[in-house]
Amino acid sequence: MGKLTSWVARNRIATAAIVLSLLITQGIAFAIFESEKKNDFMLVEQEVLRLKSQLEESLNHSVTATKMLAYLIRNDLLGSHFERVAKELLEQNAFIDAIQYVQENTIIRTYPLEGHEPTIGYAVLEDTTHRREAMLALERGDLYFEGPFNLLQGGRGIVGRYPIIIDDEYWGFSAVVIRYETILEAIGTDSTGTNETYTYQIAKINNNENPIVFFEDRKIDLSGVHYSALVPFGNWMVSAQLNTPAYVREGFLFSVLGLLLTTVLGLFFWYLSDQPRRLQLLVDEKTNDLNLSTQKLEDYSKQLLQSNNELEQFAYVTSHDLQEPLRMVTSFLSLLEKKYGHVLDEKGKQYIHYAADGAHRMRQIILDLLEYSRIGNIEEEVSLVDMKAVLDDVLILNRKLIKEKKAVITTEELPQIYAEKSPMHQMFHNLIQNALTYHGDSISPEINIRAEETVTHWIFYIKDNGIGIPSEYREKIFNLFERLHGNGEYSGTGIGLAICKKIAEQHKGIIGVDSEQDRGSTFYFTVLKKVESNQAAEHEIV
Amino acid sequence: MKPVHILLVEDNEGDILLIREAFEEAKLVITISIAKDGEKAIKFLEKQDDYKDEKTPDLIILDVNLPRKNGHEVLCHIKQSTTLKHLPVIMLTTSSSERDISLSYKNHANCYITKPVDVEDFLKAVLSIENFWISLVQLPTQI
Repeated sequence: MGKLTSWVARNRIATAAIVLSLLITQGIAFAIFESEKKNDFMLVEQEVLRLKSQLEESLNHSVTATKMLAYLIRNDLLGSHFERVAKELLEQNAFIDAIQYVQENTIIRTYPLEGHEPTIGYAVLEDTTHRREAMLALERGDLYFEGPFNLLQGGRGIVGRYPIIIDDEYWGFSAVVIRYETILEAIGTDSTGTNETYTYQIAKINNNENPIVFFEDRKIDLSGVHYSALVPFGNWMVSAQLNTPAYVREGFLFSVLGLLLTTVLGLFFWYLSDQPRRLQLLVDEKTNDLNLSTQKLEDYSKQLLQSNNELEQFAYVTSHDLQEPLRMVTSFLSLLEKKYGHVLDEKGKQYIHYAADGAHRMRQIILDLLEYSRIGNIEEEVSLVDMKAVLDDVLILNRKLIKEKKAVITTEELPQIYAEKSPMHQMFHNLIQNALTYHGDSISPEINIRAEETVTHWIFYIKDNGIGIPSEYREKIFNLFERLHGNGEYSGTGIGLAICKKIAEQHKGIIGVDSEQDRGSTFYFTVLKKVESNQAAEHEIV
Repeated sequence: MKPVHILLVEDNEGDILLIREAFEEAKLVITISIAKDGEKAIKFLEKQDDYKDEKTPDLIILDVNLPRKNGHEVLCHIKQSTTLKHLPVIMLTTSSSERDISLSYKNHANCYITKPVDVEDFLKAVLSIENFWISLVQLPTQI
């Protein structure tokens, strides 16, 4: 119940609509109910009136007959012609079973005699009921019917009496006998007093006694659709009742329809009002899913970070620990050569040479690996780095090699940038070493270093006139241990450029090369400018 | 001049050999005692157990990475001992880590040398020790 009241509060429009719908539909149903009821009553009234008029019409014949007989008797014209007169009267007037006259109290003559013998000489007016009814006729001065009652001659019927007054004195009655069956025929019903539509009753109005009705075992249900009309001929109430009043059914139908409609409306509104809640559930569900996947991503990236860290630690520790035994190898091979070289032949010396060389190369690899693992592992301070100074440093470090190769180095103005100093040093060192190493036999290396500025990045170019790089290897060379030459051609560990790539990525920049075989190479790398608003800058390399 | 007695605390056989050979080329007579781990080094200096007949060295060359007790522990022991703290301790180790260096000096190491990788440089370094600490410097035990 509480749920309902809260729903009502939340959905005023819906409630109003439902209430309105209820009012309207029930209003219409009620209107239909009333109209149909009126219609039904009207029908029944019409039917009763029809019945009444039909009865009266048929009884009018009795009027004619009894009046005629009375007239003849009054004017002493009857004589002995009763039978003939009666016969003709009967022929002329329908719905009469017998015609008779009463003088004083007694029935004198009846036609047809056959079937009505008991009536002859019957002192009819000595019976209380008959007397009373006859008196009513006398009072009215007109044809008045008694009955239905059990006829003396058998069967049921009605008797209509017309008073004969001669010289202002009561003489007697002319009367007709109409059998029950004839009445039924006259009014067009059967003995049941019902048909498909209506149930009839004709009841004599009497105050105190048992009801005198045409159709037995029937009481008009006053709650039903009925109508009654008085037939003065016999003080009869003609009533009819509608067997199946339509109005209840119709009204009920419309009411139910209206309720259904309102229910549908109600459901519709409930569904609508529930929409936000359902949407919220959906949103919650999706949010939950999102949270879960975000959580998963977070966990995964944490795992990744951890694994990365471990890997780097491993690389660091390993290369560190590898250096010690390597030092032993290199040292003693060197001593061997120094102190015992004189007892060795050329081959022996060569053996030692290759061993020492192998060890030496291994040492270089370990150093490079150590450097590779260092980057990103050790948090270096980002500071304002004078790239010119760094380059100069690198050139000094490599002066021996530069002198040896007779290399020509040109630089243009280099900026001061926010970067980690050591890695920048390493970057230049590796790139310049490469430029000094990978050149044609008879060609002196010419190296040019310059810088460019974009909105978001610094770009550094190291251009050489070396052997160049075929386009299909332009990306491969930055992979760890990837080399394009054997150690016999050019010495190297395959780690240098991988280190450069790592450094570039560390600085949120990229590294690449423009090159063609035998046409030299221009290596370039970018460094993201350190600006607060530079959260998600995109690369712009022309 | 009395022969100089050096205690070399070193676990690497190869390095022991190298150092010995380097000192053999020296002008002066040098006796080298070897302790191959930190525990033995302390026992030697304290003349405990097997080492009760040993003489106190004039100079200690100490590696950092040692089994049992490491070089830092040995250093601390020496420099906290009233009978030993005067002895010069030269850290000679592969480690070049800032931590090892500053810790050694904090614990009063006399100097810290990172073992050169190149064998020639290594020998030169050892000779430098000889030149400086033995030829040039006045040792407290030699007075």
